[in-house]
Amino acid sequence: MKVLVADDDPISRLLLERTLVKLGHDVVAVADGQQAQALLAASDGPQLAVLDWMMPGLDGIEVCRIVRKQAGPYVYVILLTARDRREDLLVALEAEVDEFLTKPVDPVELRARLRSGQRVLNLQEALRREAMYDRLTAIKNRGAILDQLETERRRMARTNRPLSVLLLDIDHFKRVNDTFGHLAGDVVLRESATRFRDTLRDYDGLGRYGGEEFLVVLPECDREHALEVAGRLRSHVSAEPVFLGGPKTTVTISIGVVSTTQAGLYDSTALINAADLALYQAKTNGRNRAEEAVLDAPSAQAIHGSLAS
Amino acid sequence: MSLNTTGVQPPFNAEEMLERLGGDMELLQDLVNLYDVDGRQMLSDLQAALDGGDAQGVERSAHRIRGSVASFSAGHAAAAAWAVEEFGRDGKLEEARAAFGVLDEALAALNLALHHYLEHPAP
Repeated sequence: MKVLVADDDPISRLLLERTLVKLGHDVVAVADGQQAQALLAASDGPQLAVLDWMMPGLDGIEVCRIVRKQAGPYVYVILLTARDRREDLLVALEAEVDEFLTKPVDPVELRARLRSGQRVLNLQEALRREAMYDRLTAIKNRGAILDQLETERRRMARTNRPLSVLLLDIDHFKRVNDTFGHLAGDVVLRESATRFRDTLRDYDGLGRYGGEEFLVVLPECDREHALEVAGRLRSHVSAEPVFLGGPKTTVTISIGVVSTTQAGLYDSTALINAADLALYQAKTNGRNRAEEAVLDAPSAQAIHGSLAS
Repeated sequence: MSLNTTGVQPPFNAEEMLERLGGDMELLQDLVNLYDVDGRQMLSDLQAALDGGDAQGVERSAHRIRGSVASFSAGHAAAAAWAVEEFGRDGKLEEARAAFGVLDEALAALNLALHHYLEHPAP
């Protein structure tokens, strides 16, 4: 596991670094609070940090306060301290430090503290996944895919790149449930999600929007390519029948496609509503097909907001 | 070579220190090498803070020294550094200067004892 050590005293730092390496950790050691804070703010930064309390610039407490305000994965902070006054410990607890270690560090105690840190991080990760992924299909749930849509919409708006959104619905899903039972319906949802995932690029978003509806977010993808992707999704999901333990069923989908090169002018709801209307068109035009949405002209307010930002 | 250290307690607790280092003599050598350079610097930082009447600097420098020597289980030197640190914290620079003398001696003894130990490690 990657562990950050921040201590301005080179002797304590070297001792900690070697001890942690012997325990099998991947160690990044820095001499001050600013460097520590910058490393912890990085998206792939260490999630375990051993910070000395007294450091020039930012001290360990200040680094911890900043880390607690940042979004992203939880960072488990162990504060090194030679201070044992009650009021000092209260300050540290208020800064949401997870653990204390007194200097000089006892390696046995360090290992125990790191283990409990690891346990907390594992639980946090499990909770994070639980909150983001749909249990049945193992793809993102509604909240998580909507978050991704909003993130990508803002990113495409900033960079003036195209964005496409696909709303997919499994055709005659109720019939599958009625004919083969709900467990068979679950198999169809799981298998369809897998086939969608296999069709998309790694950085495309895929989530279960609700029931038998799926939302696909395609950053850097214009309308022409979005229609191609829709075609691939349709042919891939229906290419082989889904095996239901005995019987088989062929799955087809209807798709509403919406694309824009001006992501700053539409909010996520407007894009989804447009895709939903197109999906409805696809259903009424006979299913197993994709229809393209026409976006309403953006409101004057949206144009104003886009120019102002 | 005999060690002529002040006080009754040895400058550091070898057993406790080695346990902390997992018996790694190579690591001890590296730490002592680092301390030879850094310890001198820390001491001159502390001296400069005392000369400049910078109580906060005195506290900070003494704190660093305390952290360093604690790694060697140097109880006497750590206690001396702690006294300077506390006097610095309370802005009592006269007392800090007096305590600095004790610290200076303790660090010299520690330095000697560490090098002696590296040359003749106890079985």
